[in-house]
Amino acid sequence: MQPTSPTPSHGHEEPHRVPLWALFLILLALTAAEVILYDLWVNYRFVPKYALVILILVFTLPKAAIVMTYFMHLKFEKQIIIGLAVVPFVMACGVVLAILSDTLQLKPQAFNRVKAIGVYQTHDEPSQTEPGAHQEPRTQPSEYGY
Amino acid sequence: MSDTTAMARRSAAKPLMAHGSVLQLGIPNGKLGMWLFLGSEVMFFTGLIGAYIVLRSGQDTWADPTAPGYPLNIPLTAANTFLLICSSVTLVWALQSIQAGKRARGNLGLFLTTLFGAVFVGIQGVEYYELYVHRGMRPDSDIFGSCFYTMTGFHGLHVLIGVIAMAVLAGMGLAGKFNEDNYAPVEATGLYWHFVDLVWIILFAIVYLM
Repeated sequence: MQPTSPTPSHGHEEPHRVPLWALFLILLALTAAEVILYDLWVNYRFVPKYALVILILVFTLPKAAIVMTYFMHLKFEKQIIIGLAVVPFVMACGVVLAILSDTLQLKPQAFNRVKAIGVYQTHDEPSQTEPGAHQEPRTQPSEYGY
Repeated sequence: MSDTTAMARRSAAKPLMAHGSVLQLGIPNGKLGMWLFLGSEVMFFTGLIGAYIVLRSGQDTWADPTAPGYPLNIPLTAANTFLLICSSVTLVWALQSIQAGKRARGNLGLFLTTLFGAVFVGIQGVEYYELYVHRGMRPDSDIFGSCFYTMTGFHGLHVLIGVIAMAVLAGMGLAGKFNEDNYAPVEATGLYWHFVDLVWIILFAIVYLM
């Protein structure tokens, strides 16, 4: 591959300035909001856990977007760089959603089963090939408050 | 190929090779390579997060944040998150200063980034010590401990590598290696650093708050 004429400044893009301190304050506020929300939930349980997860994502995803867009300069990059950055993230989201689509269907009781190569074994039907492969549910709370 | 043509090509290529960096895409090699590397890193951390979701979903019980003995120290970790965000800001500030020809500010920014990163690693070390020694939460204690140490440990390792890289950059800055025409190493390493910050933003939410 032959080298071509670089952009000014020896191959660098023209520098783009970002509103640094405004972004800093936004990130700070979003982090504080996350922690306050979590603390309120721990003390008052005002919404179910799944709603807390969604609310936290509401604060987390903009933070991630700010870092990618401005700190990593994606907003000012060439299309190919944007593609290089976005494709793995889309794939990552696909992987997580695929996993969630399976795990969210399962109820806690179902996890008393052992899943092995697509075959569920229940406590009523202990495995013939892997005795003891399943675990008895914990009955005594641990020091972590289980 | 005539000698004249060959000399002309060598002459045209020489300035580029001095900066070693630009091919047909018009993107510095270091930056392109870093983005490709970060793509692989995205999949690595996605693997960890995916495993975490599966393992957590497969448990009857999980550490309860409302229980008195909940081991994780959220305020301390929030402070650590704040530090990492500060380090990203100081790094952008450093890069912008170098690009503007303000080398002293750039060096200060690189130093502050290194300092914040080192403090982050130090606080994580303190957190690990507290959990491991005083709370008895070990990687082999249960699946919660295993997931926690695996995810935060790999991230911490990335931060440690980043701190070393930042310290090297800070040293190079003090030696006058960077100016408004030469800042590619800061830019490429900065991408890595911001990515580590990005991963922590997500891990903090998933591991500590959810």
